Amino acid sequence: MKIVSIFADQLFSFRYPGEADNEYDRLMELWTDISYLKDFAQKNNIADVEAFAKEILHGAEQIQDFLENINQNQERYDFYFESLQLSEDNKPLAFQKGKIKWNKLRYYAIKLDANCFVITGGAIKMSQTMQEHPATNYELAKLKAAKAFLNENGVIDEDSFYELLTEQQ
Amino acid sequence: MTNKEKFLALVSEENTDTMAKNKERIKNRAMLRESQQIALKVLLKLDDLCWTQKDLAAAMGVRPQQISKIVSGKENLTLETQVKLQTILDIPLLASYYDDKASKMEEMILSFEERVDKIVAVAAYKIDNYQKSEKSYTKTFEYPHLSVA
Repeated sequence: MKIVSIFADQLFSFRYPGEADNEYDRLMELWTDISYLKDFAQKNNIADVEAFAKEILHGAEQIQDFLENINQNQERYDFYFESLQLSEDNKPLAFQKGKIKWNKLRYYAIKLDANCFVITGGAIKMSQTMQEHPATNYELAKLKAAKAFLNENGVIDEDSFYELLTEQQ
Repeated sequence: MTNKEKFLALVSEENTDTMAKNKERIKNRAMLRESQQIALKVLLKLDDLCWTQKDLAAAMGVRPQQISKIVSGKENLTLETQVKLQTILDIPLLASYYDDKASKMEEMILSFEERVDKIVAVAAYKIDNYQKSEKSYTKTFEYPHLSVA
């Protein structure tokens, strides 16, 4: 397990054994791979493969723009990383309103301090809670393992887990 | 040692080119969108035809790895590759697809017009013949004494 810097001393990512890329790059490559998106849609019984692929590609572009803008404008990361709500009863207000359409793509991260995050993984979010879908459930296990790794090395994370939440435009 | 310092001590020395790659993706966005559209059309057409990617590789005379690259939607495809895909799979990728369809349609319309012209000519000939025969019959019928005389 390696931690690499993506941007200065603010944004980091895990790079797992056997993986050529850190989690940001690995997932961005996957989410822009049409063959992968088509297989994902079919495995998840999504009828309109084309519409699904277009939605995910649009979401991926939004995240690319987000990363570029945030670095160009030196914005704070904690404005975009929302505290991860693990149970449906404790979901963010925006979900309860049901008016905002969120990007289906999520990067998961651990917060070290106000403007320092380390990405542990990510997923195409297909269910309300992480436990409901195998992919997000697996990401939850990765978050916990990453937290344990940090703790074992004497690093105490600030609080709970985080997810990059961008609004679908 | 602060918490942040402890964390930074865990961070690998290796440099990532994530930011540069991200910029590159944004810079190449228009090309990538086209490539993604093509990949999607190819994959959906393969499903329709019940073809595997290996079948397509064989039809195009390329290695299966080349098809994997095409259907990932990340390749800057050459015109030669696009022409091959368009011809073999009969999917619209280039303007020539619609130009060819339009000229085929034009040819069909022309041949249809020629056939209509022929039908009209034959019909006119038959009507003319019929009218002539009807006149001679009418004359014979109305003025039998004249013909006899």
